[in-house]
Amino acid sequence: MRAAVASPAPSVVPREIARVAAALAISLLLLPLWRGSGASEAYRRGVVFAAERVVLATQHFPLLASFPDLRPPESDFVVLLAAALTAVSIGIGRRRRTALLLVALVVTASLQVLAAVATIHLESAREMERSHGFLVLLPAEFLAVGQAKMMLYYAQLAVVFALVLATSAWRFALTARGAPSSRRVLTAAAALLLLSTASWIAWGRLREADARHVAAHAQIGHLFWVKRDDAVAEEQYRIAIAGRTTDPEAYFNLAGIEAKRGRFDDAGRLLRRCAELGADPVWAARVNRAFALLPRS
Amino acid sequence: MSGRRFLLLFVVYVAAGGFVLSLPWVEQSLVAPWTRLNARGTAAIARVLGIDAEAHGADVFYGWGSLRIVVGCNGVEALLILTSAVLAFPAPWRQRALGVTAGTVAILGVNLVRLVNLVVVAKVAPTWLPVFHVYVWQVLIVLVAVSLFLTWGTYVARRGRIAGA
Repeated sequence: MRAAVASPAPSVVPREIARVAAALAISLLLLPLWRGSGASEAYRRGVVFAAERVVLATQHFPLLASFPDLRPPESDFVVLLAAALTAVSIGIGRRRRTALLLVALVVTASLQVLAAVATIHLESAREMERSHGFLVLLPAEFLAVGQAKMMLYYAQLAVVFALVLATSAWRFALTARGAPSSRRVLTAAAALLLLSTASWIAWGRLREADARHVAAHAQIGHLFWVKRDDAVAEEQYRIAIAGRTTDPEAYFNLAGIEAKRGRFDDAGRLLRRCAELGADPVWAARVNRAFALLPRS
Repeated sequence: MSGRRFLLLFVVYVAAGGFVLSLPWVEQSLVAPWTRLNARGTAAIARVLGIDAEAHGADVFYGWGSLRIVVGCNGVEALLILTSAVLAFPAPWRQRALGVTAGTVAILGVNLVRLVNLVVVAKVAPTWLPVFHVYVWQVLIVLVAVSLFLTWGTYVARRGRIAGA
């Protein structure tokens, strides 16, 4: 069976090319205004602000706070082009054009926020490895976040492509293949969501069993211990100990926190474990000295 | 109306293709050689234009300056989008293969023009490089992909060569 296709007139393609060329020209004319008025910088700050909120709400390690100087990948050209495209697409109604512009802007901004989140994670992981020598992101996670960042870039270009088609006079008036029903689309989306959630949970379990990840929890515990932030240090040490860290300092410092709170039995148990792991004279001396400071029960 | 079906398939193909292209093995064995091919072609064309250019891997050296061709400048993004759109369009597979092949050649050609232009801009007016790099060519390459798709789609549609159900 052949599809019923509204065959476009031969003049459609040159007209469409002229339309997108006009949109490009307008976006370039808008560029000095966009940058000179500070709108570009305000947009960047907005993206970074939103990305910071996302990172702070979702980060696994309590490391990141603010990134005012972050330069997310430069893709504000999508915003300019979307505005220009909707301006030149006079063949469709103003209401539909406005709706398309809003959808394009929301999708683009969301993709750019996610790309900035990926950039923050990658840059902070590189920085922690360089300055402190531990892995905030495991190699597989590093690869996955890098891939996600690249895919988000592709997705932004795909938005431009889809917007050009959506504002085009060129129509895919096909009837031979019907659109999938809303029910099928929802089922597929739900299956994808379920699969993603299950994979995320499974990966979380695997990650917490990885010695390099456990070591990172212990190292971050040390960073907060040095800053006298006992609450965060304790949280990180407990995760590291649950992951069977072999870092004696994690046990020693947590014992110190327990002793400060009067939980001497727990402190003693942690010191004994520390003595087992830190089998050298210096550690033995430190542990013995700490034991001597604990009140005898 | 299959606009929604086309859009869904297009999104799925872009996501799947983007994932595949960012796999280290694919990056090493497909994307990197493609990028090096772009660099060699750029240097060759620049030499024809009288610029003393030389390609080393993904780098193009010209005089004291150099440009590194990375993801986003190698045309792979435009090729991915064009290929996804062609594959999502309900044309016979032979027409789709023709569209992808012609599109690959055309995108490679346009991308060479883009890279040579960037080398010329970098040499002649370096302060304009960010504008040309981000605001002109990133947009233009996608618009070229759209134009190629519309041309191919019109050719297929006008002959009624749309795949049946």
